Amino acid sequence: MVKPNSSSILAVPFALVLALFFVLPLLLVVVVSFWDYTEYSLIPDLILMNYEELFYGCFDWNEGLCTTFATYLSTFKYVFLTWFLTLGIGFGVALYLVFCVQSLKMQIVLFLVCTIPFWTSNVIRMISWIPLLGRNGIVNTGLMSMGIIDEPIEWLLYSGFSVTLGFVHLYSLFMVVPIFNSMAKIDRSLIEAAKDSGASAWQIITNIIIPLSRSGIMIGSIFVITIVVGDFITIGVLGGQQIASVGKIIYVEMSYLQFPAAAANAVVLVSITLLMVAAMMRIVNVRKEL
Amino acid sequence: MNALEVIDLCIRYDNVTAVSNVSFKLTADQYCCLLGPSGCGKTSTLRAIAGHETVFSGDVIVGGKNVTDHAPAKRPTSMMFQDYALFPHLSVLDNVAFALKIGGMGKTERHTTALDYLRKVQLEEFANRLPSELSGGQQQRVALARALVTSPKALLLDEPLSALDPFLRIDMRAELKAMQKSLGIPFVHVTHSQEEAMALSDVVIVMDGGQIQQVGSPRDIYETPANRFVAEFIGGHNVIESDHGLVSVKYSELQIGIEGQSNSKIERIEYLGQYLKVSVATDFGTLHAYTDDKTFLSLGLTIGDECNTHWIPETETLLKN
Repeated sequence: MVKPNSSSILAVPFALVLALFFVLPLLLVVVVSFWDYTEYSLIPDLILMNYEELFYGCFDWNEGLCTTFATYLSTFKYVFLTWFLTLGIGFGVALYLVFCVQSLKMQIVLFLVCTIPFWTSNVIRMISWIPLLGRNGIVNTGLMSMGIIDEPIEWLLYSGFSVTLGFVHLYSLFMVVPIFNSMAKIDRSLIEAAKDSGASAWQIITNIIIPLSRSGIMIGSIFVITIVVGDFITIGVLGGQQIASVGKIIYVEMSYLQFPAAAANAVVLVSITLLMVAAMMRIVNVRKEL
Repeated sequence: MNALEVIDLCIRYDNVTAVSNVSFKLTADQYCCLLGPSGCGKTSTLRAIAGHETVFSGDVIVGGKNVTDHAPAKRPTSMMFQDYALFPHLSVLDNVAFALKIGGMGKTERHTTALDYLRKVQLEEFANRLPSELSGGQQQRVALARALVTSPKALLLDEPLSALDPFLRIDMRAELKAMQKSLGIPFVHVTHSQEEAMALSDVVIVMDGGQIQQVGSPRDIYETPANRFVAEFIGGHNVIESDHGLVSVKYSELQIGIEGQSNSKIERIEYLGQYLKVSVATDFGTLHAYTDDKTFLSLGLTIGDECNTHWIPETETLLKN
């Protein structure tokens, strides 16, 4: 335990905000997930019906995959794809910024360039893919006028492709920043020492840089995974409302005022996410390496 | 045969010359110190030998082979870094075995070899610790073992003792010297401490302004400094602009007495254990003398007293500038 002292007063405002707007609502969600409901009312209760309905038919293996499991599978497909691609891009960009750009001034300039997309809102950035990727969008018309294709490519928009593209575009920076941070802390003489020992560029990356930036990799991964796992807007907008995700199910249930069902779904999603984060924290002791 | 040879080395950074026309030769049994103040080009010279610095012109020859254009990995040299640069995520054993792993040696074999080297620096029982769990002196020995594990033909040490406390520094320098003698490869050791250079070296290379000022044995350099910079930097020398040119007279050769014409005044007396350091104001400026305490105390001089200061002309060394 940390001994309480006067400096902990500094943490009070934020602790209050978190308690009021995060912990309390989350507890409410857990409570409501055990309530009963009709088309027009919520009935305080302590029943497992919402959970039973959620997993209805899921453990009857002859029936094939139940809706819930199929939805989670689809969600995790995008989580994995997005994580994999943003990790590759984030690691590459951070590696370039830290080890290839020599002057600090240039590093700062390029880093700011990376943040420029954040000057517009998330939703706008998402929507602006539509005129680009649509049937009559810039990419399709461009390719057609160049004679590369005869008819528009259908899978560019409202597809798994566009959803993944949107996620990667939106969240790559969440990987770049923490990885950049932990890479910037690597002592340059370690790289020289590795070179002196005969290591090639690739061996330096795998033996020195990756192990020493794993806390950044882990923090970035937690950001990206937790954001994508609960997403419903990007999947809705760029998936043409055709692709299932857990977040979207919760959203739909809420719009039908089935709050207890949505709450049960949310509790399961949060639990799974927390389990994943806990597993990741076990692999890398982020606190130790910060 | 020369184990290490540097010929006419020049290093430039964006039109600023850091090192110019540095040449020296070392045989396998020589311990060499590059001595100079910070910014004198000694570290750049060392890094150029290791291959971590781009050479503008000149050659580096190790073991009879010109390695000037070789990457650090391809050179038969090994470098020990100033703050050791141990890999913080690897155990002591894996740190030492790193170069062997890179070289493709199998796990059991490289661990056996690395343990042999850890034994040489008396650290085998720490093999499974992380570098951060070791003391400064132990970390340094790990760095030494790591540098030696590839059996280099020359070892390059960048201020290896500067992070250690004074007592440990003296122990470690004896260990380094013994290690060099037993391995029979030249050590090139960068330092700004003249005491360290004197104690360790077979050859001292004094550098300033990117150029070599003097090369020689510690005794050569102390007895006959080549120029004003060397005389002042190694210490213990009065630099005097006499009527027959610039000369240096060692503190220990300056005589202070009460007989004869009084030509100076005592400014300061410092008691340093084996001897006294007496500073006197003369026509040539302030001069210093090391004197035996009994002899000096018998004169009964104190600060502010007039006295006679002189030296035997044969003890002068004529300086170049």
